[in-house]
Amino acid sequence: MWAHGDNIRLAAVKHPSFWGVGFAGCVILALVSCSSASAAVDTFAALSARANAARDAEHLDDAVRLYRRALALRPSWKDGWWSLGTIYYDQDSYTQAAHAFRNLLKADPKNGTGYAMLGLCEFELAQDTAALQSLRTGLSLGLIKDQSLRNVVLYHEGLLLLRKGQFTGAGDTLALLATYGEAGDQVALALGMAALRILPRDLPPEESQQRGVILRAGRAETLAAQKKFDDGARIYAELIAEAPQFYGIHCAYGTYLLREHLTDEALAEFRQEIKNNPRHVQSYLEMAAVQYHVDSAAGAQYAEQAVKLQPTLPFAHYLLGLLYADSGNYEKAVTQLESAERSHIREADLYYALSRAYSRTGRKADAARARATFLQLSSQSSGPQEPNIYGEHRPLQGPDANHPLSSVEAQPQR
Amino acid sequence: MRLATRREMLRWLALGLPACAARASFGATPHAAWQGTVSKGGLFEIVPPSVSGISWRHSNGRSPEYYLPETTGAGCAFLDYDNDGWMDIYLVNGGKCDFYDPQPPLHNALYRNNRDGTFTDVTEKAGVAGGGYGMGVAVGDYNRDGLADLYLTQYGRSILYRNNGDGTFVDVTEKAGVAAPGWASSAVWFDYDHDGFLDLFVCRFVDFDRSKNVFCGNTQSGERYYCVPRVYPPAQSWLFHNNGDGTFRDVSKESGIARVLGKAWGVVATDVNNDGWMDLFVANDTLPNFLFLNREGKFEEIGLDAGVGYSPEGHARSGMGVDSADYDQDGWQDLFVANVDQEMYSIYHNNHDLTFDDMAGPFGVGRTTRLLSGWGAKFFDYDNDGNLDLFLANGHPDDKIEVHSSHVKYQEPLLLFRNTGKALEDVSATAGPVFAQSFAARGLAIGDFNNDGATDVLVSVNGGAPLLLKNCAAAGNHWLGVRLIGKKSNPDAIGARITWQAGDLKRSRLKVGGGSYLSSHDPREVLGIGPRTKIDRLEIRWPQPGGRTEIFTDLAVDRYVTIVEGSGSLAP
Repeated sequence: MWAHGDNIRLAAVKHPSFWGVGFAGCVILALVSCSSASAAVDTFAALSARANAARDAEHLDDAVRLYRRALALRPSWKDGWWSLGTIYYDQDSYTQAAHAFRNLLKADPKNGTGYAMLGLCEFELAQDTAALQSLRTGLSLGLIKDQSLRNVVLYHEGLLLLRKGQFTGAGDTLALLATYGEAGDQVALALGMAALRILPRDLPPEESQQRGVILRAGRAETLAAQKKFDDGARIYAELIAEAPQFYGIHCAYGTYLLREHLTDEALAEFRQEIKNNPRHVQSYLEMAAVQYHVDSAAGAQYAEQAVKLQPTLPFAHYLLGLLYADSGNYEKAVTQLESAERSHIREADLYYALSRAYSRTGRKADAARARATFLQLSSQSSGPQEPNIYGEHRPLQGPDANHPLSSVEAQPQR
Repeated sequence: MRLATRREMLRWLALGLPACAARASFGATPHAAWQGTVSKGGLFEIVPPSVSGISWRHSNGRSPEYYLPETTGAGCAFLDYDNDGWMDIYLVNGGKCDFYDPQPPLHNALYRNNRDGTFTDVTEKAGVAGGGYGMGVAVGDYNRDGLADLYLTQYGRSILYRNNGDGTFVDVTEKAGVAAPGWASSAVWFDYDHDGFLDLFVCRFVDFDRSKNVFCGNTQSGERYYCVPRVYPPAQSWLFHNNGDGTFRDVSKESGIARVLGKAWGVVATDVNNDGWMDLFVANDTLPNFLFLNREGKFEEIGLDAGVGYSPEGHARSGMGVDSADYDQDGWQDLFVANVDQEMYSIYHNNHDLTFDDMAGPFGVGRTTRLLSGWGAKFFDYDNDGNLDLFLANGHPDDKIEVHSSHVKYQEPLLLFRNTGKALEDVSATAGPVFAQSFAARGLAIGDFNNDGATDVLVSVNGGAPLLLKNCAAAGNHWLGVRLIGKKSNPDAIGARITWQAGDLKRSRLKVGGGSYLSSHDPREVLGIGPRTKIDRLEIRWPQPGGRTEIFTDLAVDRYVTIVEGSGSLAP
């Protein structure tokens, strides 16, 4: 199934020995020199050498057996866990592969590539939350210099975000992939889903007209990621002419225009989306967000609509709270921000806004409590900051961290 | 200084929209219509090197290794080093350090004002060439001898130059004990403990040296760009207490300054709670800004509680340039901080209760600056109408930014916001050709180099020639230039409160310390009164330990005067 990312997957993970090709080569030579010694002593050295030789000879079942025996003797053998994990992965034995990578990470907890491989296994096992966490940890710690691995990891991260309905994050990740030159239809389709806010389970069948629209929207987003904004805009304009009633197309185009700072044109698209789909919460939120700090009182009216349409959406309450606060309406801001808080959103931003609103309404104790929570959450979100494969720096997510957008993004309400 | 993270929850909230600003007005004080005339060259005109004689250029030593200091300097200053009443110019350069060994060696520059619009390089004679990798400069009379001394901040070790009074300076750093090893950025002179001597606060940026340089860039291609400072550990800034005998004592710990670690770029000494004790507002990069509240000589950091540490959405930003002024004349000092692109700059309005509200959105400053990165920043009354305007020097820190962004440029335009008495209005588009150009601007100093009462601007450019901008905007409006000399109070009168009245116009101004980025300013205050032709009343409230108030009446205008604390008289 496409949504499992069949085609963009790691093609060649079976052989690399990331910790010591030279060492492995020596072992193979040593093994060849005594290949007739079939009754080798079952020492770790002998078992590991035979395991590597079997792996290199593509005798994978033998290799698995030998690796397991060698690892039983020396559980800290990182290269062994890596090889075992990658063999299992190639055999589609994801449970076993995940087990091997977890053991690898016990021995080498800073191994970003190990986390990435674990995440790919968890992806295949439909353990989405764990997979996302593992992939992000891997990216934060840094991967080996392998472009295909980077792209695979990013792609799967994008798919996981799509599955969770985190369309903005998915779009960002997939756009990054597009900037790296991955401009194929798979990436474009995923980008189209992100732009049009379509969950993988709702993807129309292949060859359908709807799927074609999604793909073309994704191509437009791909072009934008590659700084070919005008070409992308042309595609969107064609799509809107051909399928003006396609759900979310105006909102997607509006968001596209916003990124290019064409605010008035973007607002026109959001309005058209609402005209087509009066319950299109995302368009209301986009319009409200545009007004923040500019005309927050006007923006609050759109956010109020979003809250009315989707009262369970914490982000709508949060945004409305910000807009009220920015309009000097602190009492109403507190009400909205507390609504968001009741959704158990553990997000530093929310508590900062709460602390400010409490402070301005004279609730000093509540303000102090919100400030303390803000500081606590802020410190949690500022983990190790090391360069990663992006060449940028992303905070390491805590083990239990849920991305805030996972529960606050507006979900499609067709 | 940082790139926007991809996952900021509300990064898309700030997209601009030209619209009305519901709260974008302040004050109800009478406002004189702007009387200035726009010269052919605009409100500010570039004085080219061929005219000024300032041929010096900044060298950043940009290397393939992309050492972060390369893109962050340098500062500049207006000062009157020879006490002739004319503003001279000091320019800070890169130089020899652990990652750079320029040949021939680079030097800073001191230009003496020839009083005819030209300047002469007197660096060698004065002995203020520097010698390390220079960052910024702070000017102050630390030894109360009536002469402007120079504190030069550097990456590595900073330098205190004592003014000998004969056109030369001497390096007294070691004796004074203010070397501040590490990466020093902005510095400010102010009297934090009311003993009448100028103390020294020195911003320290990150814990960095050549061996700690982090690779930031594309690991596949090896292409580098300048790191977001987040990758480097924070550091404590310094506070040096002036012992009054030519030496200083590091009181960073006992004063409370060292209790928090930052990545400090800009600093301004101001008084946010009107208690007479000068506070410090410090811009941090990728960390919350600090507001050090001075509680009778001990500092308490209240940035978070005050609402100036973070963006309105609770994000630490990349603070660089800062300033403080009472822009709306409500009697309370407001704050300004410039950030990097996508973050918007902030104008924090003082709520009179140690809290602030960011008015950048309502004033349109946010929308205007959303794609810009700001360094030099100063409130001053460019058209002498009595209202404090705002001048900003911008430029993205990453020279590769245009590879990654289609909207953000490495070189960026200057910005000028005019204070209408009700709002800050972006007048850059009509302010002249210089505002249509783009620069890698960093430091910004204000000063009236031609003594015409119109405050001019000096902008330092990373890897380029400085910009000397002559103010042509104040013609037709009247003014009084005031130089304050403290006798019992600190000699530079930092913390003095100046109040003046001309007809229906009443204004008040706190003489702040420092402000902007890596730069130092004309010590004189130009008091604009618009079309009014005399000042009815001028009140000087000297800072402690002097603390007295002196009042002068019926003053002729369009001239500079010197007021010596306790003398009760004005001198030309």
